Amino acid sequence: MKKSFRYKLKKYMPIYIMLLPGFLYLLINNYIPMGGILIAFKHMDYSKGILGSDWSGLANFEYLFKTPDAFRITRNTILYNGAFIISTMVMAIIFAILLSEIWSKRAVKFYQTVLLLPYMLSMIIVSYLAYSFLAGDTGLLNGVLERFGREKVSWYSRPEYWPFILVIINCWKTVGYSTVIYLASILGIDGELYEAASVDGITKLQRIRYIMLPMIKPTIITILLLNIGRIFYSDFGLFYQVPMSSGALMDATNTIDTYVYRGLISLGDVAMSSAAGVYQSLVGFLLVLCANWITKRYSSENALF
Amino acid sequence: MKKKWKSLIAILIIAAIALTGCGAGGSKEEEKKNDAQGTASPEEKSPLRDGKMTELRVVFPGNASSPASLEAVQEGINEILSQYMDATVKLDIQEWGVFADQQSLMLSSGEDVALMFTYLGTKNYAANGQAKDITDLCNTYAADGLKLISQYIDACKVNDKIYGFPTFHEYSSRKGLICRTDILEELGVDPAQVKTWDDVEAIFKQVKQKHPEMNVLCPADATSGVFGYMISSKYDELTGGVVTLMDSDGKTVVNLYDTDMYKDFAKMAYEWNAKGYVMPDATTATETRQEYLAAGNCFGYIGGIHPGTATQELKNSGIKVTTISIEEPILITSAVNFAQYMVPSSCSTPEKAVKLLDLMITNKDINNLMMYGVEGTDYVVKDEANNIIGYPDGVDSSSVGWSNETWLVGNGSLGYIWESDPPTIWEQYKELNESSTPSPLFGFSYDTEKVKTEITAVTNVISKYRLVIQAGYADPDKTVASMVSELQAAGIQKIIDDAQAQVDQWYSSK
Repeated sequence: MKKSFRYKLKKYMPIYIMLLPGFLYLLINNYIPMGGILIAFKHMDYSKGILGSDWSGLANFEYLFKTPDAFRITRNTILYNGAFIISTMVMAIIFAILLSEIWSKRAVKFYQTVLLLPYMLSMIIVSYLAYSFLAGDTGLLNGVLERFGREKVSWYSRPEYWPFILVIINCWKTVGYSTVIYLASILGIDGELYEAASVDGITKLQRIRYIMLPMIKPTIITILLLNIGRIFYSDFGLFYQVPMSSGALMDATNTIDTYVYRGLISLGDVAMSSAAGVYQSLVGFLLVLCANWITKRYSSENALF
Repeated sequence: MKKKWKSLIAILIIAAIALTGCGAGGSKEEEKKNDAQGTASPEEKSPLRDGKMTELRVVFPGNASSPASLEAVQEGINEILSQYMDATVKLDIQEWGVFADQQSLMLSSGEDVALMFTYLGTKNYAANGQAKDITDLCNTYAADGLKLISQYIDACKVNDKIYGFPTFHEYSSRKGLICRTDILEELGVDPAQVKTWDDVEAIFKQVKQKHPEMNVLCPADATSGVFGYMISSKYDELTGGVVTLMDSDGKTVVNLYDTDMYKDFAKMAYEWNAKGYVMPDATTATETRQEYLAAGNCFGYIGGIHPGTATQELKNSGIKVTTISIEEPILITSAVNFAQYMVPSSCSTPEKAVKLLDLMITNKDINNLMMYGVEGTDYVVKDEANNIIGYPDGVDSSSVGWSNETWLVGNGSLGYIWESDPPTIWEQYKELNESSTPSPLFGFSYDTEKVKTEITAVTNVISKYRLVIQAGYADPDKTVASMVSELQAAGIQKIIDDAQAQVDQWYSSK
């Protein structure tokens, strides 16, 4: 008994040691800060500390729901993220399939880099790129409109255009990253499948429909589940910086994150902003559980857990 | 499945241990604090001469965290301190970019800081228990300083207790037009003859005629809208949208956006915008006003004017500007108390800290050291009689070993005058401060604790409409009405009622 324990220890020790840095990283960065969840339920008083502060129950959460904007910001957050997930996924899969059809390795590298580049840009830079297109007097789009004899549009005061602008910008920015993931999984498909299929006289479209898509389904589902977990968060830069924080656009661009930022920037209340974070993570967690449960029902081998 | 539960439990236990660890740390600090209070008991010898050389850490923002003359400046201050108490000073300069984060970190982790600069007032720190109530200590250790700023100290009180001293800065500004001198001369306008906003509009008309390609007005900053400063001297704002009007008795709190004054203003802004006085896309302006001025196609802006404005704009934009004041200055609580030195509640020697605060307000040499650095190396006296100083030969703004700004030191008006400033600059500042009409609510500061939920909602409504209306982009009747109705839905009435109750109580306790 003792000997076998020793034997096991010796055998697996290196693996545990290899695990240690990653485990510590997760523990320090992801698990210990979870204790901070307490702050959301406290009436923070720095002189008493986190644990010593008085409990406030759910009072810190009130402001998220007791506002006429509550419906609008929740709707905006969910609908935008839904549109982002779908648009990015569809575009990324199309790009990945197209890239996989290119034989020249150099060309693939080139396109991949070009697609990935926007993903590396900071949202602040993106906001100025967008501004150079949309500015009222000097913008590129208005220049084009004028050239064709149309009237200039004051983009930053017309909320009706912004759902489209934001979806396009987000898609442009994130599509490269997803493309790389899908491409990797397409390239991982066993070549024998194609050979067997071509013996049966398969067309290109059929190949995509019956071989590629089913083979990358697990990747699609995993990415979908991960994205659903973040559906209650919004990219702050995209919704605050890109519309230049224009008041006239707020009906179309205010999300939970920007609402919390605007509301608390002057109050500086840590507990209330924590409450928003808790609310978002909680809903995200429940949504992942739900989505995973649904996945399990319909194709159990693809579920996350 | 079982394994998963086990690991989950393990994680929870670890988290719990980590948390209790934090808790233990907190209670230790509290013990320390109690000890500190214990030493203040009167039967012991004077807390200033306790024989221990305490290091008093003073935290304030600056452009460089360790300028060349830092040691020498500290030594200079130490020499002065030794006449008053057993202590040395450590100037802890945090660069602007990290100041806010470092400050909140120091305050929340309870570091032993004697004096902390704040540019947000002390109200929130007092409410959070991060700033120390120094009312009694001030009477004992800072009586001179208190006397010197007696006119303004009311602004720094929270619930009638003092948490810090304001630094010397412009407590108010006149509102008016700041515009390019060359164009004004070209039009033949005599700035002294411009007295009202109608006169100002006449100038705009002329500019528009002579220079149709030029933008007449750019926004002064990102939060006020192009025309916002025209009315900002007409009210004292307690919190977003909740104000008392300057021309009232100051006893009623109202919704700013629901007043006739604001509605008239919105109409005027709309008309002026329609006449083309506003630069395009003014609500999403991406540059500062100085950059628009420097770019050469902007005539000016409507903003705040203080004695240094013309010099400051010239320095920042290279454009010579003329200032035309229209509105008289008002004195409101938030303009005085925003720049303060406070004693953090974690300070272990509050008596010495308050004495240092007193010296920073009353001692000329300390102020010269903190503002200009060391005489001989960082500056030389150029005109003894008029207290005028300048750079020594071979030194300029990029090579000087020390630089600081007036509003970041205790009382700059005691010190020398820089050669590029007008020789009467301190008198001009004092004159501005003393001529300001105090708001009826001067000294009152509003405690928002009970209405935070409503304030977040109201703030969002304001950021949706304010800039658009104040730059004159929206049909005033319709937009102001829908803003008011959204403010009502967001619960502004509850804030007004709450503020009114506090104001009533403040008056009755006076």
